[in-house]
Amino acid sequence: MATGSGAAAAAADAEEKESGSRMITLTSNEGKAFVVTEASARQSATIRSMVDDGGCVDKGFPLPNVDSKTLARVIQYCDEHGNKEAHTVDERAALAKFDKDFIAELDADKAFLYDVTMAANYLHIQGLFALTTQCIADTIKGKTPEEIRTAFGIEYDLTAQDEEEIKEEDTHA
Amino acid sequence: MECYGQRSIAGGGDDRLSALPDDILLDIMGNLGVREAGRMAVLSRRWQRLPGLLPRLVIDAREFEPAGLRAGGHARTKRAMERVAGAVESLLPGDRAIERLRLDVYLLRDESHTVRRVVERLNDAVDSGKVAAGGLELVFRATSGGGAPDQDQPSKRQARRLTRLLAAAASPNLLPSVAELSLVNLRFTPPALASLLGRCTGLEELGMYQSDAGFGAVLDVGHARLRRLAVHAGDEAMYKKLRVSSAPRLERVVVANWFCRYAPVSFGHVPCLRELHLKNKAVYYQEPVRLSKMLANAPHLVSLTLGFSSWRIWIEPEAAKQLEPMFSKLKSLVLTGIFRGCDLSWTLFLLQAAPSLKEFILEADKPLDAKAPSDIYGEMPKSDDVTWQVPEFQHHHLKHLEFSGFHEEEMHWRIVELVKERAANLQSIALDDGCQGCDVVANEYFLSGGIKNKKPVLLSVSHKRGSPPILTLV
Repeated sequence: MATGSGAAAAAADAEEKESGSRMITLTSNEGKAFVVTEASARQSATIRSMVDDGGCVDKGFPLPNVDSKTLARVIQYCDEHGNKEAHTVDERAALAKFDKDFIAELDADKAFLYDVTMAANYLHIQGLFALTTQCIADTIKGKTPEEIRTAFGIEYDLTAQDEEEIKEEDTHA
Repeated sequence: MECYGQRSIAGGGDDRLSALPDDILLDIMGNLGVREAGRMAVLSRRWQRLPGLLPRLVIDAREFEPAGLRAGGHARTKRAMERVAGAVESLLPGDRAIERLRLDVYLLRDESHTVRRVVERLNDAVDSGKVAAGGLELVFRATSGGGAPDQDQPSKRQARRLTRLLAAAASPNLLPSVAELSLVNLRFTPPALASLLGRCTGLEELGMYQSDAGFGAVLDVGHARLRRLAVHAGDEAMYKKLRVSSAPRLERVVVANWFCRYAPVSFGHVPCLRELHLKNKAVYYQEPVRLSKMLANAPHLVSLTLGFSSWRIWIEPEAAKQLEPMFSKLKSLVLTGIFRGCDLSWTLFLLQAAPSLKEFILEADKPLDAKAPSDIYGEMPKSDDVTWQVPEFQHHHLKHLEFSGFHEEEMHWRIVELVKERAANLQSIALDDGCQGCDVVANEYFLSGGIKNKKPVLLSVSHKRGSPPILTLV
């Protein structure tokens, strides 16, 4: 029994390593090719499902909605989360630290942060998407509407009547 | 097709928040809480309609507390709850679907009709299918007795009221739709609690915070979908035992503080249990826990945390062979709150019993001698009270040893040496004196040799800012 399950586990392990060692090519909208491990590419649910459906692994995946700069950054995230384990407190702490530094760097360049957010959404990279949207939310938190409008360049187009209605509702809350 | 990443969108300036599509903006607002998200409605026309489209609504009474009134005071919680009821009444009607609705509410000491208003709206939302099945998260917090000396006791009266309210006003579909339930500071009668938990058939997460079913009661949990369970007892919450009969999907259990004489928890069918945290300030009448017995039905643990924070080490020393079946998959072991001056070599039997362990984390407590232990903790044991045998073995998987609260004293150096000798593939040791901003003491010792000048050990020391130095064996 013990040896049987051990052998099965070893086989599964080997298989996992096999598929994990495959390389996948992602191509940005500028036609630049990025070669990543399958484990890294599988961070994206979009790519994962294409790979699992027996898609064109060899030909690679063109990503017409993502430019090279953004894709490079997204891959940086996927490499870290796809290729590293997170079983232990320490491994998780290392990933958390990576996330913290990663997002701090993005936060300094808001336009780039939105690009990465859009790409994470398009590629369905859940962890990265949660990270970037939380970061944007944190920027908004605690600001007055006027401050938010200034910070984000939002044009004010409400009529006096709209505003009255909102105030009405807000007194409930 | 729109191109992500091109900078040519007109009028972008530095920030193009509004260029993001609605579904992303909704995700961002979802991270804000309903009150703050509601405030964003005044930004522009587009933002005005967004709060009404949020798929996940979080209505937390604590966000609605008026600033002017005394924190924790009755007037303040009452006003907050009136606002919550208003928010629920204005946000829940309408025909949009809500995937997840989280309500964190206070139970007031003098009335229950505010909560009733909330429950009635919930009934409608659940009965009409507007809130997805299994999409409810409810937190009920009893408010304190308002300055009475027994205010820290779980409230019996508010538990009774809640029980009555749910029996009378909750739709039969309401409780089965609850995926997460947290009860804070409530003391039920055993049948009332059993019935409440029994009706929440879809429960995925249960939290009992200073909440119980009276002195000596047994808390019985057996839910088909339960994945996470947390039981935090305060000094006054005294359940006798937590019994998890059958929870086939349960992954994580936290039990903090217990007052029973024997093992605080018993597991029936828990094939998915991976993570267990047990923390207790053991008192004099409590018998040490035999881990192999308590964990007999939990053989797949990956992560185990044991917290002590008193003079008592509340586990029994055991032969590694006996523990091994429960520890065979264990990857991470964390021992916290061990009193200063304790000879840590006893911890080795745990390491020996867990051959797959990858990290071993020790946290020594702040010196306890700064404060005399109170009577209930009994006599202060001498540091050699815990003198279990030091086993001889080789460990092949341990990669990382971490010791926070480390002090340059023989006891602490000894455990580091003992682990180092046994763990053949140890890669790193992190020592941290637990004191923010103090210099860590370790480097010199390692570079100059071991205790009593054992053979010198070469280490490379890497310093990263803001984290303890990592000593890497080379």
